[in-house]
Amino acid sequence: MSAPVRRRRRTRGALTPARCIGIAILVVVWLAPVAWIAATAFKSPAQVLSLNVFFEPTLRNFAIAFGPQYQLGARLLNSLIVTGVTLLVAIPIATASAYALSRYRFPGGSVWSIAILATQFVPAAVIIIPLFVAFRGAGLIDTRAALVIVNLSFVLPYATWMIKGFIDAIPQDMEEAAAIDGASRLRALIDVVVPVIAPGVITAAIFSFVIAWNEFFYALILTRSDATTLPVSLMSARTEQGDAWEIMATIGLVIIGPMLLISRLVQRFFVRGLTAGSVR
Amino acid sequence: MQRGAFKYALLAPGVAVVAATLLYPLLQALWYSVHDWNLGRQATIGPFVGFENFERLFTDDPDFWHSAWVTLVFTVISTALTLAVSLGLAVLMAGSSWLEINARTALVIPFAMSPALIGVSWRFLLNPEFGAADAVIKTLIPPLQGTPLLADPLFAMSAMIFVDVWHWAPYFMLTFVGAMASLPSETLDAAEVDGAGKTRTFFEIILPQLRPVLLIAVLLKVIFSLKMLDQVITMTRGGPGTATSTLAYTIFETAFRWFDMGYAAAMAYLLAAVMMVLAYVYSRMVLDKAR
Amino acid sequence: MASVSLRNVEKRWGPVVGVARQSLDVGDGEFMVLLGPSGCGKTTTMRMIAGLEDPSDGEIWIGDRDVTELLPRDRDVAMVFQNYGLYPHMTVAQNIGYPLKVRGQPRAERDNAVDEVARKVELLPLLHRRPRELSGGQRQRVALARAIVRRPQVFLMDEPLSNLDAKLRVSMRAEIKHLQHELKITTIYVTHDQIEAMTLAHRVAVMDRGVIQQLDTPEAIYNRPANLFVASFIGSPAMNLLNGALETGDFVAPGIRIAGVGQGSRPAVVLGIRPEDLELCDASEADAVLPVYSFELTGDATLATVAHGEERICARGDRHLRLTFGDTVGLRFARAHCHLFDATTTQRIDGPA
Repeated sequence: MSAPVRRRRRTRGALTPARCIGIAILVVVWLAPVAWIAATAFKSPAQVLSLNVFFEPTLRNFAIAFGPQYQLGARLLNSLIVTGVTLLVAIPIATASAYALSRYRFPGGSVWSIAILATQFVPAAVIIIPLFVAFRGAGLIDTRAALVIVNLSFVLPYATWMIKGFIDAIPQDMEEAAAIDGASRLRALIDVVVPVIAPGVITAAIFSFVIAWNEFFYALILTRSDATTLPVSLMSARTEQGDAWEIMATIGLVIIGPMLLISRLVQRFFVRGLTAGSVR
Repeated sequence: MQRGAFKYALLAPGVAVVAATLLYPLLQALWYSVHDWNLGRQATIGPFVGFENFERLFTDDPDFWHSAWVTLVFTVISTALTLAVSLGLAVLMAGSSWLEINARTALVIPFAMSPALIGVSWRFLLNPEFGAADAVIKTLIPPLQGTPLLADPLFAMSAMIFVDVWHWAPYFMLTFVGAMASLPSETLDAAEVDGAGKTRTFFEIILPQLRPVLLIAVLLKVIFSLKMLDQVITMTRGGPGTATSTLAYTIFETAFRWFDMGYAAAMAYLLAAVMMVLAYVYSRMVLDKAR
Repeated sequence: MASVSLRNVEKRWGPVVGVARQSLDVGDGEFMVLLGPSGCGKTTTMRMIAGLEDPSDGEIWIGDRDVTELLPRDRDVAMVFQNYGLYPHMTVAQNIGYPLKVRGQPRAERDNAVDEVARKVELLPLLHRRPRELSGGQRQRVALARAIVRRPQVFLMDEPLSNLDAKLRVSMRAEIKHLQHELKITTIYVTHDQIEAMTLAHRVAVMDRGVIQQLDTPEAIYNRPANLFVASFIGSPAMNLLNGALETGDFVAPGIRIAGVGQGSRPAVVLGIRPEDLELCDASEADAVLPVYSFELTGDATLATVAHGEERICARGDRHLRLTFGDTVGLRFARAHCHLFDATTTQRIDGPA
């Protein structure tokens, strides 16, 4: 007659032990390839071939990578300069544009916003063909300046779109209050808007850094040796005598290094940016 | 400052940079596409040929259509798998416990990796002699013993798709976790009160409400798949043969291996046209949602 | 301190008319409330006075200056926003002092002014907090303080109380009224809450669809609504509106005849009467006898709703009154408080009121 009352946990989606283990295994499996690559950077060529999980770590790969054959130091410097200058130019310009697009009406209405978004989807091949020709004519092939210019083509719209999203989410009350309180537009922008959107701008800067830092295709086409960046230098470990995988892994680690550092240091911004990205 | 001038002053630098780095090349590429120009033969632009390049594309280039087919296969399968996997991940770790939050953050690491590095890494991991992933796969599926995966057309394509899912699924998982968190909890309460089980709740309550986000995610992933190029260059170089030569890769080879600039520009424009249509639909969806 | 004057001000967005050619004069030191439902144009009107929106047409004067073309900061107005518009990265003191700072007032003077104003609105102990560490009422006070710190010519308040809970709203209302009385600064206050309008205003402008429907004192708006919109918008519970006809001075509707509420005859009129002007009585003395539809105790009164065909009539009765569903009750209409409106023009018909 009286069926046993089914008692259940009250909280939805509670963390059962099985789910905990499932999540843990998943994360380990997902990240194992990354860990393997990282480990490879510390292996000798013989150890690379052995497939052993246990090995004696060595720093010789770093010595070779930064040595005369691979010149990773110069590549790293190129990557740092190109990415840094790209951000220095792009972020202030993107902030100004994003603010204008978020707060003012322009003739043409939403066309401007659509155009910004659309730039993200132009195939790289379309852009690079004329730019390659133009840079060749101007003697800019294999220069950092050329890389900064092409990087701007995708970093600037990307950062603008992202910052605009953050500004859109901030009520306009504050700026109107500042206008009535007697601040000029520029003053209101500097006193009130910039401090409030700073976290958003930082987030956009971090993401711009990631995509500029990782950029490969344009650099592959536009550089030969002088301006080669880290991702392109991955190709240099593919030699006549076979692939120097341990060197590739070492270069890979140098590329990921700053990224991991960033994601730890500014996790808050990083996760916010990922969730506030273009799919909203 | 005049009232109207301020907003244009703010926008002007951005417009100038975009005009120089995007608008100029876009128009210039259009110009190239109606010329016959092999950069290997001559340094300045060749004769005007009208729509000959496009004609050649449509009537006389089986390689191009083969790469269009490769691109289609890659795009459809990688999009479907990525979204299915990312939805699964999202359901598995959508909570706000310490474990789930950190698991989500950790999973994003592949997404932050340079695509070129991803390609190189997986070429290494799938190496038949000393690739770790290769060893694992062949232990799990013994019939594959002796097959060099990236040298087999079917497995090379499968590997590209697999790596692509590995790369993108965490990103879309975060999107879905965010979307699920913003669903009104009343609907879940109501479903529980109405007596819907977990599976039912997911398919009948949660999934329909995620529809707008899902649509946008599909479109976005399609666009990313169409653009994907770095991994092809670093992982398979379009091979074996032309088994993984996507459109983007074919354009790259035409332009920078054969230096056939006019023809490459024509191809690029065809791809761009498809992307622009998708991008337009996408931006409309995003903007409408923002309203 | 100054008067504010709108002259044929209009606001259009393409074909959409937000505010339709309205003129309004607000006297020096007056407390003017713009009242209306959302989308009626009241906020747009205020934003045009502030300079946050440009009128499509017409002029705005503050005192003897035409400010139509001036930037907000040159108009010498202060505004309190619905969401307060506080600067989240500044402390309370910095928020209040900001209008003085951008005007280049020296630090010492500024600090004195901030202290004085903070004392007035009881914020002294909180000066070093940031807005997110404050309660809703305290944020409201900061917004008020920031508005009054520089003694503007005009105060503009955009639904300043709508984000507060009911209890706080009542006390802040009194506070705003007191401050305005003390400072004697011309104030324009936008709200959709009729109680706020009735309690605060010297005069109320009731707006609907971009048009000022009636501009008068709270008493007049309550006692002599100019049209059906004002009649139905003001008062809670709302005024009862009955469709019928006027026959030689009597209002006639099926089952109802109320003698001597108007003059002459008209085929289509609407009779308006507030619930408190209806008396529940015996059938013998009643103007109408109708079945009880529902009744509710509100504590200080009983609201009886009776059915008249498809119409519902609400009457306010004694708080001890008890009714039963389905009973019939008699209603007596207080003749002096019957309002007649033309059913087609919706305008008031002046009877022997």
